[in-house]
Amino acid sequence: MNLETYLKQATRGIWGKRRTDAILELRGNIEARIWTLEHQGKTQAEALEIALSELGDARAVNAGMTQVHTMPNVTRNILLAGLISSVAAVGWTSSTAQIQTVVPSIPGVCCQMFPTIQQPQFVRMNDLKSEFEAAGVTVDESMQRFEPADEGTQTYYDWPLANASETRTLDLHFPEMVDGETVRVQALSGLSVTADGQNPKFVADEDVFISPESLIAQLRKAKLPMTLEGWHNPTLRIGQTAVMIGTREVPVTAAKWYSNVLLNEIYPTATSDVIFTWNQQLVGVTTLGKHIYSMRVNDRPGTVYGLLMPLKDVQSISISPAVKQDPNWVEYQLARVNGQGVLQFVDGSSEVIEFVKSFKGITNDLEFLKANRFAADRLNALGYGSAKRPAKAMLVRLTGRLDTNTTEIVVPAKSRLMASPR
Amino acid sequence: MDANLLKGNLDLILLATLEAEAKYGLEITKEVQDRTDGYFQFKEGTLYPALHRLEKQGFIAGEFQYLPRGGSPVKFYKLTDAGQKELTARRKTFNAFTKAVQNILGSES
Repeated sequence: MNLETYLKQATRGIWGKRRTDAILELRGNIEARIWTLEHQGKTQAEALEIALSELGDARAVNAGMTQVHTMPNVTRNILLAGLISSVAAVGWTSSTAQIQTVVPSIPGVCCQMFPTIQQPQFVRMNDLKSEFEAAGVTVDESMQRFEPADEGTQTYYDWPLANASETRTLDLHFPEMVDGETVRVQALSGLSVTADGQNPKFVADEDVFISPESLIAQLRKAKLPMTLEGWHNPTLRIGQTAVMIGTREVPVTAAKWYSNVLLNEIYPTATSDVIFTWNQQLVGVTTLGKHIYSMRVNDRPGTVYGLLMPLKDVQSISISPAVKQDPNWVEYQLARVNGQGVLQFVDGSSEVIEFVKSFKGITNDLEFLKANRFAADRLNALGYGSAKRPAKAMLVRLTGRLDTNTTEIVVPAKSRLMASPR
Repeated sequence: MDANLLKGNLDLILLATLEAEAKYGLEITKEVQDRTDGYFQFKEGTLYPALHRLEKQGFIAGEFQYLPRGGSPVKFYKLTDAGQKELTARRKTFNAFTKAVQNILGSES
């Protein structure tokens, strides 16, 4: 790679003087290193190659740079209180950047799909195992008794645990971990999902799967450096290991994966053993949205953000009137930065709608109410509001690092969330 | 070296490295390697984002200067007053933590 290409790649996504300065700084240091190496007898080409190699992969430099320079405030003390009240009409364009993140060198892991909605649900364990092994991860497979309280067990659904027998378990040892440390993920025991009308059914299957929730939760607990990038067939990077979720033949979109990150941010899974259960999730968007929320973030196109805000329209959800009157409902939406650096959260964005609609299983009013109260309390406890003046909304940058305490909650300076009638 | 050890103490290491005098990126890398016999090595884009973050936080201040060799300027970073206070506080915390851990571990025989 030549110097100019390297500098461009390393500073992509940074704008204006910040980029000029970053390029100048990198160039100065690279030239200084080349100068030293040439005096040690290297040719200019050799010196350049060594200097760039020492500095690191341009994409890695870029990841660090954009994290610093594209987010004016990256701490958790920022509140969007009252943001939604900053309502003004803005024009809306239906154009959304199509982000293709297929990286040929990264293997794809096949996901099991819901036939009717084509959403990724579970990762095929054999695929994950072979890809991890190929990437240098030590994988020990064993049969373990499934106990709900066990570390790493699957509690995402109301599973018929009482009758469960031993299930396949993978203990993953990543190169970044110390000796003896592993991440344990447990298979869903030979069950497969089919859709029967509105209701998913679980049937016997020769293959076994693991869920995104379980995998992400366990990786977060292990405090491994982890990133999720892209939307179509997203890439999950754990340290130096990378896998693409989905394949060319069976492509997936990342709504559920990013949703998990967002929900993990609100619910303290990092500090407890609670893994998110279905009935305790925040609700996705409602089916007939009325607003479009726009915000200029000047972030890299394709970067995924999540927006949490009070639920405005609960009419279309099948719950009791008492629950509908509760003020503590919170909904979330996902959006990708478009080519103009703007986020547009659209009530009723199709990916999330389909995802939520597929689970009419949200019928446990008490649990749901409790969960949403908890979410509101959690926002307040994090400093995003108070009992007297509750937080109105929270914006979370989801693309990027996923390990504990590093998911960014941001409000771009001088930006306002603008709402317009749809 | 466990990368998390470097990551967890990166700010302290950088502030301490800049305590005596202003330095630019390559000098910082070299000094850290020299002073730790190569134990700590910055790579994969760790150093410059960290420097920029510390600069945004007001703990260090950067200024472009030309080197005698000519060519492009390099950015020298120096510790600010706020950075000196931060370094003092972090050093104290780190020393207390190290001492406490050492008391538990005991000396290596």
